[in-house]
Amino acid sequence: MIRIHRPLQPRGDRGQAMTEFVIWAFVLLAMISGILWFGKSYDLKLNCHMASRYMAWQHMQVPETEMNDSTILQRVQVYYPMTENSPEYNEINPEDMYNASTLNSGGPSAGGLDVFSLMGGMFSVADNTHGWNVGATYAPGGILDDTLPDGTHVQSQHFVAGGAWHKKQIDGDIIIMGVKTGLFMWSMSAL
Amino acid sequence: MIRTSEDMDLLERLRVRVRGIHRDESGQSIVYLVLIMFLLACFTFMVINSGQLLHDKMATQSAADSAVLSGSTWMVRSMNLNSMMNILMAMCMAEAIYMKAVYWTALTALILSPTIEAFWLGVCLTTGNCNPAVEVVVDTFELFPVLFEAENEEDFMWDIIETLSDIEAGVDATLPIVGELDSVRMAMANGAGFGVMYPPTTPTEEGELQDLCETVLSGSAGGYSEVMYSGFGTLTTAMNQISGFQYSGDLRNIAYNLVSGFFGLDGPLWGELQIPYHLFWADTAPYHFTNVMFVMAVQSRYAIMCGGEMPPPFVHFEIPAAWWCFFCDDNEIDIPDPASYLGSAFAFLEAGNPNVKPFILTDDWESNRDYYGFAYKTPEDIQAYFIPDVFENAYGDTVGMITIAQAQIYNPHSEGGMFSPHWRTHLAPVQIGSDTAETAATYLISAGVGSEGDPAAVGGLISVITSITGDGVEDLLAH
Repeated sequence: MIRIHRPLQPRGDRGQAMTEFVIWAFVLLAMISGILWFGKSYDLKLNCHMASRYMAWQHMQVPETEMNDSTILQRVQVYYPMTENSPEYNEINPEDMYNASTLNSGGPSAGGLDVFSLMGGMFSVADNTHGWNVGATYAPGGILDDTLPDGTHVQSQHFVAGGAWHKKQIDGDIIIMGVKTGLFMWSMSAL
Repeated sequence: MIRTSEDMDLLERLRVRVRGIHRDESGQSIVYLVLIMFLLACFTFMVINSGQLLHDKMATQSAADSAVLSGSTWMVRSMNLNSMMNILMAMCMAEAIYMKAVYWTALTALILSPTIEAFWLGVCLTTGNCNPAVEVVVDTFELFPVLFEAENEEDFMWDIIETLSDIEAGVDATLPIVGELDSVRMAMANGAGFGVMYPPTTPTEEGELQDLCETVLSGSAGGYSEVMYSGFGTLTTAMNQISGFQYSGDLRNIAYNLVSGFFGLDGPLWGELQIPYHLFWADTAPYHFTNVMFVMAVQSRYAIMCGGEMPPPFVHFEIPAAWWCFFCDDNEIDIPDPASYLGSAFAFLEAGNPNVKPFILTDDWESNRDYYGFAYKTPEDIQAYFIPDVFENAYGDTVGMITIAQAQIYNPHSEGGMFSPHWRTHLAPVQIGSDTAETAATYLISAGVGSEGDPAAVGGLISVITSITGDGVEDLLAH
């Protein structure tokens, strides 16, 4: 008959390793999950950043490219896929850009310089400013479902102004022909 | 010292107690736990902070991209508008050339009307074709109102050209400043504390009237033509209007040769714009040789202003006597170039207009077409909790985070220069020096005080902004 001798261990220390393991496992699991959650959210944030930038730039270039809204949206959905994250693409009224405090919480803080109010009227005359906000939700699933039942919503927005006013954009051929016609008619009447 | 048994017990108990402390491991792991948890917390914090930092950097870079793209857009807008106005100025200059040619032609025809009348009377006598001799008198009287109007009309056209030139100067002075402001606006709209673009100028300069000449003559610049079509027919159509009498074919051939030898029949001097003038001379005074004179006057006017070959002083025209007028001499006349004919009497054959200064590309424009956008976030704007040394610059936390973007303006038809309104801008890899961040920080700081060379221009801009808002430059740049 074989007898198993329990290790010589004080009664009070029994189960300590198990307890420590459980605590450590929980801490590590939470930490890893947190890092994964942050990484995923951060990745989604970058996607939103790039998508908003792409949306703004492409809409700014519409006079050049003659792309329509749906084509731009299709492209951005391919380039920055977020189909599982309920992406939202919202155009921002350029007038709202001048309300900087609501757009960029915590900044900018250029010494209290109210550039936006200063330039609001100036750029409303002949502007081609486009602003887009892209948001998405990361639902981590698994054990974090209970912690973040609504998921993590991230968003980003971007503004750009453009439009080179080159000949095609300003219908330069029509202008030239118009002036030609005017000069032609003026010549006829002058003679 | 004598030890008692009680002392011995006490020592023994203490020894046992101390020995027990060495053996007792309870509470040891909690120290490690706290230490490792602290390290893990630091590690987690670093991960999150680095993510925030990178996002800040990315946002600042986007702000710089947007700033320089939007800012340089105003530069190309300025160049496109001025290119369009250069084209319009060339068209108007062609009109001014026509009006001067009309004036010279009408005056010459009036002065020579007795000679012309005598010529056609001779033709009447030697050939029996007397219609021209009758109609030439009527045609001569039609020249008077034209003569009086032509000078006024030409002045009016020069007024337009000078106005366009003034507008160009205004565009070149204003739009780059607007571009600077727009770069500030875009940088801040995209989350930067401040941003600006450099340089605040276009690679153009004021030219002179002669810079319009190539386009006036050929309808193109540098081999690139902007207007390849005609809205009102071709010059050949107009020349064919020289018709309706017996000798029209001969005169038409002379005009054809002169025109095609000078600027071709398909669109010189802005092509169909000269059609009304040829129609006028063909319909109004066909027997005055005025269409031929007009063609020579146009070439002379162009050559006086722009250089190039002058037309022949005169063109010989001859109508042989009829067979039955055996002893008659042929009818001959030299149709003069009005400019040469009037030249000695008219000292005001001016060579140009010093008030016309079209904007043209500088010789070294290709090395001055890069624009740099700077955007920075102050430490307060940065969402990351702290900035590691690797992200800091020589100014420490004076400038929290700074990025640079570069745009380059280009033209797919750059051979057309400032007569080709196709200027565009696009982002390009940054090439501003080995230590980009240091250069940018130095630039912004120096721009703020406006004390060093080129950056002073931006410093001036900032000064304008701050003078409007009442904020100090130091508040603007230093945090």
